[in-house]
Amino acid sequence: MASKKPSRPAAPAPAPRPAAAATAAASGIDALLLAALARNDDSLQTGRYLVTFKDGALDEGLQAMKAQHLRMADARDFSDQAMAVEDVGDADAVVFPEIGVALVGGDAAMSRGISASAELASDSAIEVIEPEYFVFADGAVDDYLRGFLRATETIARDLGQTGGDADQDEIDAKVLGHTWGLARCKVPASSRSGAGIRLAVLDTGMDLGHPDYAGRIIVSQSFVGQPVQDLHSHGTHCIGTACGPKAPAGATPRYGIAFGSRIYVGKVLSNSGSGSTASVLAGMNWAIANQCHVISMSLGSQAPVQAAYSAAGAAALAKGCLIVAAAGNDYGAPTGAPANSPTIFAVASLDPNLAPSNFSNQGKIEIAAPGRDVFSSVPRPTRHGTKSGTSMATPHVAGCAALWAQTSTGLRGSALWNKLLASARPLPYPASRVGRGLVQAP
Amino acid sequence: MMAKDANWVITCNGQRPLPALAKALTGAGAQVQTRLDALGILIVSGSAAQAENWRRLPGVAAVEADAGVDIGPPGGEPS
Repeated sequence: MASKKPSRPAAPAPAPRPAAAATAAASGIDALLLAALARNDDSLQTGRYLVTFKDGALDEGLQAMKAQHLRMADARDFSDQAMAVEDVGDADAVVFPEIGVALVGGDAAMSRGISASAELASDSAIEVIEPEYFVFADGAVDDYLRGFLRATETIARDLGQTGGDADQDEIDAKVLGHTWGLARCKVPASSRSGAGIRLAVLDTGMDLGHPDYAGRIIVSQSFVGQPVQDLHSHGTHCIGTACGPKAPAGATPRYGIAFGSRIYVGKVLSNSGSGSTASVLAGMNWAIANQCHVISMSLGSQAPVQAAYSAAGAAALAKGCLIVAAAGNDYGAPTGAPANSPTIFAVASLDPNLAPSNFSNQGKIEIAAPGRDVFSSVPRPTRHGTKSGTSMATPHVAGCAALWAQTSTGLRGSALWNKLLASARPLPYPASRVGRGLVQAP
Repeated sequence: MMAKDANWVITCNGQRPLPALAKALTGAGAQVQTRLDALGILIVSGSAAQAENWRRLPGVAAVEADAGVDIGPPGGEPS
């Protein structure tokens, strides 16, 4: 059950009334989030209500609720009061007697006049009625500010120390306009957009209603038995780096590379961020069958080379597709699967000063890209956030690959692979850490 | 008591068409779940003992267990 306290200040206006079934007392978090997204509600309210009873008035309050014909589920009816909200069937309300609170489903509340604005009689057993709010694991807004400022400070220090490494693009990056990663990959100066290129991202899906992607052509498919809608954030973040808009609304800096590409969203990881070889291969099969020129995979496991992934990579190259995958984040462990397959392009992560990130795996590495404190899109209502990992480095390479693919119809499959290597900026680190160097845009 | 079934990833070596290999695997006790034509791969279910036998079928390059995949180390940051 979501906490009664919001993770950020409550919105001043009440949320629009939600559809009934989606906000039932027993609804799972995924259903509540999807319902909130469907009604374009960014108030962080779930649509359910928390009724807090006055001290000593719990029984009286429950009697009053039963008199309103509310079907009640009580935690005392479960062993050790271990009751998951999703286990209460079609109950209209769920009671937590130890804390004197009842959770009331949206429809049940609406039909009985239970709302945060309802007037309570002075002798009512109810202390207060409040909306239930979502809570999230990430402090996304704080992460964005902290990450972006840290990155620009690092670039400033680096430019000051090296003296001769500064160019106008790098200096401009400090003054907003685009992320540090795009600056280092020379993306802002590129005249390419990825137009005509199909770029697939196989991940946790995407927030298909995110305003930054309005008007974009998006093809999507789920391979995990859940809707494509991203309730995790990882997929939306990776798609943002690879394909995000050239000019996001407001003061948001540019964070995406192939802003003109056609986006193929393959949900091969569930909303919990996990999947299986089978689901990943199904997504790879789909992307290749749809002739996606670039396929980005920020996922994997610490496993040896898998014949299936190698075969998939070979099939991709034979059909003019390039698969790019994250090396993994096990602090210097060998590159994981699928990136360790010889037919898949493995990506390591770099910090803003272009040193290899300490978490980045090593060994079989083709190239390196920005992966520390990367700002990009995340699902609504937060919209943008910062993450770190080889997962973030990989879509930088995928985006640049799409820009290169646009320059010539001959740059497909193995030819595109070789072009990325030949155009990389060399770095003073072993190839086992950074491959051929830092990926560069055309 | 029957051995517990699991999912297996069958990579084909191209020596026989994928549908023919799927039929052969079915005859050898496999339940074909998914055919990935663009990759030359079959996802099947069966026991570990059966999987050992499938390795010897003509057209099979590899038989691997369907394993877990995720976005990175637990805890997410870095991801």
